Amino acid sequence: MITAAAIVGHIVLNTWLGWILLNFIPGRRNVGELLLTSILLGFYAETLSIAILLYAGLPLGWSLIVVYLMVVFLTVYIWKTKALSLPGIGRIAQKLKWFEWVLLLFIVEKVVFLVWQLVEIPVYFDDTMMHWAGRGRSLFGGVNWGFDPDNEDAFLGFTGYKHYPLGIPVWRALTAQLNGQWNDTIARVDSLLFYLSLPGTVWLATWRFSRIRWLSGAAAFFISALPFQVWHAASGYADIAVEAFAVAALAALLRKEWLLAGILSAGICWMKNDGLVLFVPALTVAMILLRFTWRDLVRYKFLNKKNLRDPFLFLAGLLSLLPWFIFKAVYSLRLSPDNQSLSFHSDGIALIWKYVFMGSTHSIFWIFVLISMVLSLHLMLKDQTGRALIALLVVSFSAVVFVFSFTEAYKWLHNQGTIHRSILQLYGIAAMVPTYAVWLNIQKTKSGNK
Amino acid sequence: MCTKIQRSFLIAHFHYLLPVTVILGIKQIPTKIIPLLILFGVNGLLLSTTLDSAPEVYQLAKNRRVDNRVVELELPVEGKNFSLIWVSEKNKQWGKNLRSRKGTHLYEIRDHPEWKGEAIGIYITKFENVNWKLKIPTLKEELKIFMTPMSITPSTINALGFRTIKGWKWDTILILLLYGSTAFFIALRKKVILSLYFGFILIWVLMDIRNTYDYYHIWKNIDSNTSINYFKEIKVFSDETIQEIGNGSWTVEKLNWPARSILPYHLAEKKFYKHTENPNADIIIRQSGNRLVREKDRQK
Repeated sequence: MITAAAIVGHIVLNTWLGWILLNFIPGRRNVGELLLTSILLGFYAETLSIAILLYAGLPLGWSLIVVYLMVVFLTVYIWKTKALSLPGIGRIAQKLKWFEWVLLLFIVEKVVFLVWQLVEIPVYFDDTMMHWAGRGRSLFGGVNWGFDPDNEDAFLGFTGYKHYPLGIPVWRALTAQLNGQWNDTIARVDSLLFYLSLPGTVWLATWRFSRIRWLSGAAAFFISALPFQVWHAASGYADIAVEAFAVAALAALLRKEWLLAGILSAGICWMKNDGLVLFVPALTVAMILLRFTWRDLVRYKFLNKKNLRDPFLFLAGLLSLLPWFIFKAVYSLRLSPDNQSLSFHSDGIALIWKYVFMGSTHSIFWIFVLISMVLSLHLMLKDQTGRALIALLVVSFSAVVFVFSFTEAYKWLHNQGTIHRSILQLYGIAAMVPTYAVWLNIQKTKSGNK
Repeated sequence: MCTKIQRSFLIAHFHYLLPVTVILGIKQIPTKIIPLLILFGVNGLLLSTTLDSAPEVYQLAKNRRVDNRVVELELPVEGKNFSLIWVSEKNKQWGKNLRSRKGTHLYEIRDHPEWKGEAIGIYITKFENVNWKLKIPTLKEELKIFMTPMSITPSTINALGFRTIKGWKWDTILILLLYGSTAFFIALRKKVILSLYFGFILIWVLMDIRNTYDYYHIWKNIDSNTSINYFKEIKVFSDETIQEIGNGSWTVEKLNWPARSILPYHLAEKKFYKHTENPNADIIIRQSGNRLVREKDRQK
């Protein structure tokens, strides 16, 4: 019971922090968008600030107090200087349609299974023990944690790889701090939070461009039912967090909130290093395609001062993770534990086809996405948002292909050790492609009928 | 009994032998010594993962037709990994990793492209003197195979396994159903992309309902999951160790997986020293076979 209160309390604190920060980032958001973005933004801002305070020498508990004293100060400041944008809750009470009840039933059934796992099954998967929870527990315990690189055993925790970012371990250590002790539920519960944010974000993003409830519900259903993702939703791994931040960044891009999209993109890299390779280049390309037309790009119009503002906002958001990049550079923490040299593996692409498209881990999801892309390519490329979505998926998928076919990470493709987890990170953005294509088709039919 | 060095040599040797025999085939090797080679090869793999494992590979049958047949096995325990290995007509060795289910159950091999024609030899690892049959399943048995529940294993987090109906992969059937349902919606004069989307919604519901059965089964049978139980045992051992360490420190000498991952996680709040750095840690944890042993440092 106390654990549940600590977890809910921590999420509420994150939401408060994120909501306060969103007051400084202009944008028109509905209640759902405000809530989900606040949670993720709060998660990112809290863990990053606390990591900085820990580095400055403050203990975990005091760091938490300092951060939330700042939040209290900011709340008072906003309250005094401008009207707080309190979310209206009237529309939430809108009647659900029958298919939305069915969708909720499908999600609730999984949530029950996931909560049962979190409570009844011990921490079970390797990387959770070694990295994501192991290092968090080291931080919470304190005796096996430190920032002195000469003390190899305690430097950033005594288990796992040092180069993995600290977002998730710090969040778990904070939850344990609020709870008064560590337990196996706290070690993984954020996975469930990210899982729940995914259908929510996809639903809201689809609703925003389409205003069609069945389409939003269908997209949310696709993302919530992916079998491999259900396993990750109580695993304690970071891949589902990467996915949640990636979808949130895409949703912000679709709302043309460039700064917020940049911050959430930085959040991806704060969850796992993969974000730097798989998503930052792809989201940057998508940002440019969403902001500029072909004509702007061909005629170099994007280079004029007025037009450069938005890409710079995106970049500024990305740079919010600068303290971690500097830290990594100072302590020579690499991107991956593997040898990072390039080496081409000729069967890499064939193996990706065999395992990802023809394998059973993702069921037929990628076949469906691929067929949808091929069938709608012509229509998608004619539309600015469609182009951006296609580019986002193609660039991020190409990054996966590059990593697993042209580097030593090939071994993780060959033994199926990591490949599926990297692919899982793309689920959210992939689900948006066929959904947007369907909406374009519906629009085309409507305009044809007029 | 062999020494550690001899054993390491054997491991290295057989570790290479098995892949080489699988990759190159064993055409040139006399048929009589094939079981011996399989024994050595499999042992090499077993030894390389756990030094204390005894060699365990047993012949089930010789010269049997396997077309369209599944294997019925009566096994004594739930959740133990084992392999079914066979030598094909072309003298090539093939295998499939399986997970045991307690009692008499059917095990699907038909999805393996080389499970065809006549098998010169069929072997099983880890289980001796098992009751077994090769059989063409009835419709009811096909359904049973399809509904065989998956269970949580340490590799579930990396990839999910296949399930089959009549030897066909479930995902292949889902693709065919997707085409069928798409065609149905096209026939209803819906646009192709919209028909595909509607079709996918239906197929996804079907896929999800089948998976829900797995979730239910896992919930119902969690107590018989041997690997989860092993993790629970180590957690109990860790809790006792935490009490014993008190405000002191701990170290490990050498641990095998999964203990080398689980123990540091559970003991992360207690001061850890590398054994080489500080052999005087208050508690030393060692592994003896599958058992974990906790010792107070004798020098103290």
